[in-house]
Amino acid sequence: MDILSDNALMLQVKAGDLERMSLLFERHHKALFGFLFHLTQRREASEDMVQTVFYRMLKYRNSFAEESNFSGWMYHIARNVLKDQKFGLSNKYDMIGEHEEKIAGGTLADERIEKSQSRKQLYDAMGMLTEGDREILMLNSMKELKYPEISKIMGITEGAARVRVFRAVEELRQIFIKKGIKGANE
Amino acid sequence: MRDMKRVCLALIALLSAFRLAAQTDRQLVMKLDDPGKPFTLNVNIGRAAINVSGYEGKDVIVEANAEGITATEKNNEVTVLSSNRKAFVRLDIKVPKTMGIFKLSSLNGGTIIVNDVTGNLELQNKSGGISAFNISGTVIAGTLSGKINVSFKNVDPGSPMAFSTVSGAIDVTFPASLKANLKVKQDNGRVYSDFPLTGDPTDWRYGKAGGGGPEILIKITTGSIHIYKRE
Amino acid sequence: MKCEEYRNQFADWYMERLDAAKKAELEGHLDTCADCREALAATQFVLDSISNLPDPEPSARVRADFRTMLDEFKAVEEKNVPPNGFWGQLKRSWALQPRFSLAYSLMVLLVCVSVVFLISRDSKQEADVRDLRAQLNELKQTKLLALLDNPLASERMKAVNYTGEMKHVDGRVINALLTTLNNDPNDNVRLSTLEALAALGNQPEVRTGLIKSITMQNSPVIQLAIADVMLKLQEKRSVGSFKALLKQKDLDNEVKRKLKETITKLI
Repeated sequence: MDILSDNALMLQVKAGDLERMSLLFERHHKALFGFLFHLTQRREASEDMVQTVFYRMLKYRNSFAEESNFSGWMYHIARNVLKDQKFGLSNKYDMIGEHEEKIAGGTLADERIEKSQSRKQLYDAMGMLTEGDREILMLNSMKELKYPEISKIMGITEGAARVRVFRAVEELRQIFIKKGIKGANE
Repeated sequence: MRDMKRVCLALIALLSAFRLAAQTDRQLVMKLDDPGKPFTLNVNIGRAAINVSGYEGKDVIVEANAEGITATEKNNEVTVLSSNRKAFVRLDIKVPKTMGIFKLSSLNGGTIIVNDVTGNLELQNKSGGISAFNISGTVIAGTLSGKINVSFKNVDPGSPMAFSTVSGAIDVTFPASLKANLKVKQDNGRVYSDFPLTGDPTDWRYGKAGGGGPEILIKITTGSIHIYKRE
Repeated sequence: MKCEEYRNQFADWYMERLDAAKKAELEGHLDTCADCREALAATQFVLDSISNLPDPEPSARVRADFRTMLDEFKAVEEKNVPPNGFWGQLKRSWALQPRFSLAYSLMVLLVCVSVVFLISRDSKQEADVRDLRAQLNELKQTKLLALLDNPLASERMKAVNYTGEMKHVDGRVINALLTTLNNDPNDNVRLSTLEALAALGNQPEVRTGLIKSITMQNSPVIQLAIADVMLKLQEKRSVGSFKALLKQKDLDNEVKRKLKETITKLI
């Protein structure tokens, strides 16, 4: 069987072959979950939002156009779902302990403590960014998304998206310096 | 000061919900809420040699050779806990011979031994062995590098069972009246069975005892399996 | 181009989104501009930190929930299918026919109506039987899914063994089995779940689920068993996960041996 592109699969879903959505789910749900989790620090809420995103993609499958980019469309919906929720970043530290267990692979206790401390710092730093900055950095880090998609998702021009990414990176770097995270001011 | 009071009140409330044992010389006597009904025994202690045996009494009696052992009882469910993770604990527990559910597990302690009881046994060990003799009921036993030695007086006819380890040996003795579907596998070692088994020796082997019944899974990676029929 | 414009491209460069020409141009500039090199290093550090954020694993329930949602969605959609069936086609062909005499048309209509009437009665019975079978299967499934949550390991094992007797094992059961494989507290329950899934190895979602399960298993008994299963299924896609598992510290020696053996045999 040929491996179909995401676009082709979504078009098949649109045409009525709903089962194809499960293949898209297999391909994307983990990355989508990561995206949502890094932005909200909430595991359960992120899992629920994954469901909502896929449900909406099924419900509004007719709005998926031939020339659309599947990932761009999915993350656009994800962003809307995020906006519909109303919560800020809280209880970050509680979340960190929880998700440590779920990550595959074992490490020595000391290494683990060190890693989790620097992770805490990173989450802390990211928490000090504005929501928009955080979003655009996460969108930027998704391999399937290029500037055309990112700009469509954020509703800005490509040029503006580029500038925003650079500014967000700079902002985060300044926060690193303030928090004394090593390596930030080479 | 107020916090202390709150903590005290909370503790009192907690204590009244659960019955703590009467302690005599590190012997905890747990009275069951309803001695006629089935009971449950939970023991999950990292480094423990657990010895459980049926006796003619109605209480669950826990004896330990170390400090820090506590037991609680609620609605016939007895849970034994250890507050000292590093200490090696030897537990001797006497239970009624009536129906019981046993969930016993240890990691790097000693052997888990259960004798002369009736009911449903879930036994899990890591570097120690598992022995169960004169059991009436169901046993599900797993360890990593230990010997599993189980002998049944009677088998619960409706329940599946399993015995698995990576290295060591598995010896199980069933009554001749056993009705079950045996499913057996070993990588390196011998399989001896009083019940005829067929199949590829490098894969799962199957056998029907007494015409068949629920599945009994027996698996070892390195070591031998002996399945005996007790007349 | 000014430095600022080059710096706007750093993120693209980092994510390897620049085409060859732009990449060469940017790298050429970096060779000559120390300030930009410094800025790039700082940007790289930040972007490295972000990309090194650990990949959180969604719990197995996400897949199970999706499956349920999709099944329900499909069920609802099927009920609302537009008239593409017999009546729809009849309507369409009626419109396309050249105008025959009224009497003839009426006769055709009469014949059609009676034929449809007869056929629909038989197909209704068939539909009833199918409905009943589906309901029975549904009932078995519900019972099975409930039993998988039982506090007794032997009952959960009973549920797992039940799937071997079912004629049709659908996505919901498979997901429940995969969830059990990854989460049940009892090693032996997980072992029998693995065997039950292995028997369903011809279904693609089972294979995918098993592959994903490999790095989630901490018990050597299961690790060894899953290696055997993958070899039996000749599932080459599992090699990656086995290699990842091999990298884990404190791995049992027997497991290491078997994993290496299995990888060699699969490649």
